Amino acid sequence: MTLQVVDGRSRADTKYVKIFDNLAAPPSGTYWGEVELIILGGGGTSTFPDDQIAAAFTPSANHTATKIEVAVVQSSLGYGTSGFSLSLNQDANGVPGKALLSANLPGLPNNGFGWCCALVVGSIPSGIALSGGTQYWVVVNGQASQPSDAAAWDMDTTDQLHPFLDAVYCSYTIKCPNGIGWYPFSGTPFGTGAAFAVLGSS
Amino acid sequence: MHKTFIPTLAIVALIGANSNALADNNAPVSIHVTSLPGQPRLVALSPQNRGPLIARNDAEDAGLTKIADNITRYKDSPYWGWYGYTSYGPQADGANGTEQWLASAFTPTANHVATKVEIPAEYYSGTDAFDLSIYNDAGGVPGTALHTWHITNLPHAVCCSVVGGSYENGIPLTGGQQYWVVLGTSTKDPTAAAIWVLTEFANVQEQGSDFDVYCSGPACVPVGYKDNAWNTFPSTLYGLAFAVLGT
Repeated sequence: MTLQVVDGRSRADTKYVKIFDNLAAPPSGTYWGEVELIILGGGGTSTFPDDQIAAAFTPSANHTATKIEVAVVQSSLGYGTSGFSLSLNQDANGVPGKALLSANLPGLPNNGFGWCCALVVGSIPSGIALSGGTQYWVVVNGQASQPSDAAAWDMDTTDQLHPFLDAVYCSYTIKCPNGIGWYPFSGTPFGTGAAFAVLGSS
Repeated sequence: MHKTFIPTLAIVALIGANSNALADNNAPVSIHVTSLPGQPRLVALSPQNRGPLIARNDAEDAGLTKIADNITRYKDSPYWGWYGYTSYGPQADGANGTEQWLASAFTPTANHVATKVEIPAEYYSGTDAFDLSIYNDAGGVPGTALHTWHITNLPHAVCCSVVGGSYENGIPLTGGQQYWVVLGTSTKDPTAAAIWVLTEFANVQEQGSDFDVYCSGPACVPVGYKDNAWNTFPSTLYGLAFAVLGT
């Protein structure tokens, strides 16, 4: 998977099948840029105890994914941006399982004072087969990073009635209510899911 | 729960710089919500007022021209309903004699006649009755009301209804001139308090949004507001959602 950064308002996605897409179209912002799910590197801290965030999707039919678009940017907290990766994972009993493919993120885009609309786009030239009705996860992982680095995954606002399924990997033990591991969640008062799209072909 | 109003619009400041929100399943989610110093703090609908979420029905708007509109195309998310700013009367819970109204500006691109105004306002406390108006502009702040609708029964939910009023005769608007949509309270309903929630348009996220706050009462000056006057907040991170429709 190769990565690039694009402006989400000028996505050229019409030739792709939308396997999953909770990104908004103009004139709405591509996502709600003022709200960031924070992913801290290397085991987290007491303030930010997680070092992975994942967003679930379930293809409605068999598809081949060739593109993943995620609203992952520099946090507005002043942290570094090194050491994060983006992956597409299998499901393992309702949380992310084995990675099917992965790529290291070479830094993260900066939305600046405006809080919209950069996207990190992963291209999969040979595609990857996805089974209809099977749940998958897009994961941003900071476990190879340091606690001085952070990624921010902005949230979508396209469906407040049906919030999306996400999961956070809590790694800072004393802040993990049920121990280290994945915690699924669905919607918060700050957003209705991590913003992303998975595109491909039939 | 005791609620405290202060004229910085912070009825209950539910968000800070960072929130280790525990989402469902006790998920320890780390969320950073952006704010800027000197800008009004966002306010959330109190939990006891969070009724069922209902998709927006905009069928009644069919055929009307959108004179100004920052409500989205998403019927399950036409605005960001979890946060906004407050309008309240002087006897609202905790207001202590201070009154506060909200206004958002718009400029028609051509001459139009406005027949309908819609805003996503949510009931907070007190009497469920408010005044929604179109004002002309007076030196960059709201001037005189051109028409006022007395609106009642605001939604007790974060999404996705809008409230407003229709006026068959219409309000003539001149292209290129600035007007204001104003949410206030009447002297008959001094206990009323409502939240006007946010648009998430890309241009607002990128460039900010201006809105005005009318403050009147003993608590205005101590927090830096002009008393008995409109106070302008330029380039705020969050804009108020509304639509002005007509012909």
